[in-house]
Amino acid sequence: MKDKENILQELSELKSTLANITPQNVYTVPVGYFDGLVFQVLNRIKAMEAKNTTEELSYLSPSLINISRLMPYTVPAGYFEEIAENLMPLIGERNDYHTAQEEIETLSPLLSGLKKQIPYSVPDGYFDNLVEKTNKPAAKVVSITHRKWFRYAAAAVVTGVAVLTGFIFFGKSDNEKEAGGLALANFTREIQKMDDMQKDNLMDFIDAGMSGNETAQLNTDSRLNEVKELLKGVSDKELKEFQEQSEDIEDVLMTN
Amino acid sequence: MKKWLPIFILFFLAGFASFSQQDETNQEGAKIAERMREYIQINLGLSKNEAERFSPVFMRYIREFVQTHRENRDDRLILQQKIVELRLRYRTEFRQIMDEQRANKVFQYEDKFRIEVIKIIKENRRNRMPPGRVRSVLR
Repeated sequence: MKDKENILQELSELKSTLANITPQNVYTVPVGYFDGLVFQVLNRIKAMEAKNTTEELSYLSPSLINISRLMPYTVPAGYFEEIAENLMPLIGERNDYHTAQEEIETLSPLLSGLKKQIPYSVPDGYFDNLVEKTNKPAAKVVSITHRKWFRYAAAAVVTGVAVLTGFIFFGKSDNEKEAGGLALANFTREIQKMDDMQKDNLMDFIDAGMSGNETAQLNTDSRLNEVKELLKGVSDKELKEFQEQSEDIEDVLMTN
Repeated sequence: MKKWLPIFILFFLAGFASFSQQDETNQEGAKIAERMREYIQINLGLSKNEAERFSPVFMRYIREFVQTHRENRDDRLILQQKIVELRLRYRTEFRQIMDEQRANKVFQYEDKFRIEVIKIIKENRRNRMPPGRVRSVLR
């Protein structure tokens, strides 16, 4: 008790709100709660070990197990078979009773005025004869290979292809057969005009590695490419004349 | 009259074809000159106004160049002298169109174009001919 007072005094000195609160138990249980608690716990444990549902229910709720399973309400035999016949005269006796036609006339006179006849009709026995009409005889199959002109046409096409192929492969002249034959003949004539020194220089130039890769190097030159683009569409004859003119004034060209 | 009509039409067509061909040949001859003018114009960076004035003068120069070459091709020394004279004359005209510095460069670009064209022609010839066969011709 002395400790409690000391604590309260200390809380008062600290000006805490806890010092003004009266100590009181806020939790309660119903009267006699602990009297039946032991039995309830024991029954729960037994229910967990029950062998069937009846035994389990007897532990958990003895009042439920004692209720009879019989239906308390009954109807006479054949009640539901005769209910429609018995019910309709009773409904008809009411003052606010309307037939379906009367009800729809009240709700929508437009709908009630519509005819219920199907506007389309077919002659009598139409569907009986329908299958017979659709069973037309199958068209005659004619094979195209049986036509005479087709055979001749096919033979002509094959012959044409064979002749054309023959012309393409065997019809070339001797000069054309050899790739660059004409250019080589021209070059040979030009070489014959050269002296030994010029020939040696040309040999050295070719042996220096003119393998075709040099073209790729030239292509990288933007200026050359620019001129190449400009020369597109210019005829060989014109180019040749231009080359002659340029070479004739080679000594006065201002290339520096 | 009916007999003469087809003959007349034939003659007319033949004449028309020959004129067209001649015209085409002339146009063809001017194609490379046009490309060269375009090349020089681009490299000189001429304005639109300058290019419009430069174009007819340059084409006139080229026509005279071709004529001079044709007349003096047999004597190379005389040809070179005539070309130098021609260029000096036209340089004065170009100076009236653009500043002096660029007018002096017209012929430099012309000659560069000529050199590049010769290179391309030679390269094309080389490409048409396999090296192995060239060597066989030389031996």
